[in-house]
Amino acid sequence: MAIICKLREIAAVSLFSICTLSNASPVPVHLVGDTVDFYYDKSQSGMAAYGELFVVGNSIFSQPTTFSANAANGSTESINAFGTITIVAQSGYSFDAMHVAQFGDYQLSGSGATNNVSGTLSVSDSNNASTASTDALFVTGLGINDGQTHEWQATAGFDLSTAMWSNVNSIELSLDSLLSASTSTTGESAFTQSKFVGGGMVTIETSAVPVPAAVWLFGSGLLGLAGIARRSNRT
Amino acid sequence: MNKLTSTLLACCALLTATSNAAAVTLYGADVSFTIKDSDYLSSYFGPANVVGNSIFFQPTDFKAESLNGAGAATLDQTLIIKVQATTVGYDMTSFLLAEQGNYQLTGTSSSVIASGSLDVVSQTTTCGVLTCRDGNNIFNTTGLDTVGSLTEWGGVTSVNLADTIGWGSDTYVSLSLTNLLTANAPEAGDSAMIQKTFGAVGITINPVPVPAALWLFGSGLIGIAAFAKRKKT
Repeated sequence: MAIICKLREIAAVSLFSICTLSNASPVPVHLVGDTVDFYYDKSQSGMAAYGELFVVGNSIFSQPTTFSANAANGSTESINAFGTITIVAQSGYSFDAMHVAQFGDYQLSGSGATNNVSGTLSVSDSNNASTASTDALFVTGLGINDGQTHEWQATAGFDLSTAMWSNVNSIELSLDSLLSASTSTTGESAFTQSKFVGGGMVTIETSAVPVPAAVWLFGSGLLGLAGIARRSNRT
Repeated sequence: MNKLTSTLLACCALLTATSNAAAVTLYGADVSFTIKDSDYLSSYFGPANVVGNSIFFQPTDFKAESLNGAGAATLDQTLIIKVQATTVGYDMTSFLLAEQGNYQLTGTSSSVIASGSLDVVSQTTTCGVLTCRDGNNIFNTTGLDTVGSLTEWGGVTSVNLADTIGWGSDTYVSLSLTNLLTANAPEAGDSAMIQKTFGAVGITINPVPVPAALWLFGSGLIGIAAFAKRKKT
């Protein structure tokens, strides 16, 4: 009986530590790509608007449902999303490049209705913050003011094959984006929404170069020839 | 001690419950549809129903309305539906969004518009660097200018996965469906109302083509088997 009680005590204490642990510093979400791993802290305050992240291949993405700015009758609204993820190259691979794309809808009605999409993509070495680079989102498709819904696109990216990134196998990637909608008078409306946020990693293999099929063919052919030569020598 | 253990267990259960949003999965003929609980129960989308390989919604409160010079009123909602092929050997190839509703206008300067957009994003395949995606599938209603009587509107848009290089078909996708309703009554005495009463997404599913190499390999195997049999006799 005493042993059971002791076990219970241990169980209770370990449960307690699990609970306090998950309250204090949540374990980062780990998503596995083809040749890279993605880690992020779900509780980052600016992350909510981006929504839940998914991984396909070496691409990480979300489909936001509440990342929108809505203004009408002289009002203005803007919404900001911000998130950092850690990307680690799996052993045998190194980073070559990365691309980010964001897509959404907008609608402007009335001559004073305007909207804007802007953002900054930052990347830094996880082990040395001074190795860093930034790129502004390049936004296209905005500006049609005809009361109908249209699509906008935004892209950004980095070349990670340059010398400064040569020994970096873990990076911190941050995307800060701002959507705004503005109207000047009664009867006008402006709507801006982001529907897709995605980033993709391009990697190159650094481990032993795989032997191409042609070499196997050539090698076995040589062996065959040697065999024939040996046989004809014997006779 | 027992009490403490159960309290702690409850504490942990609560933590896991809040971190995983519950979802509803509905099964069609060859596909399944998964929607977050909060959307499934929302009056904007209403309980969803599935017939064959399509899912449909009959919202009870998806409306934009403006009265007496109040100006513009808008309502936007976005719904995520995860769609998975459940019949082995069949892939999804195209998606159709069809929506209906009605509107009513009074006064000379009031106006309404409805728009919908459907994004399809792959959960299995990349096209280039990013996951495969087909977006910019938008319908905008035009000519909603009947004054006085309650009048119907409708909108349709479709997505064909073959239009995206490197895609063609998929077994698991995530749909993002957005609706924006706008009603505008800029002057006193005007009124404008527009609502969505029906929305449906239909999935086209096709057998996965057997690659030519498999036919060659299969016929080769049969040939070898026949040869072996002949040699025995």
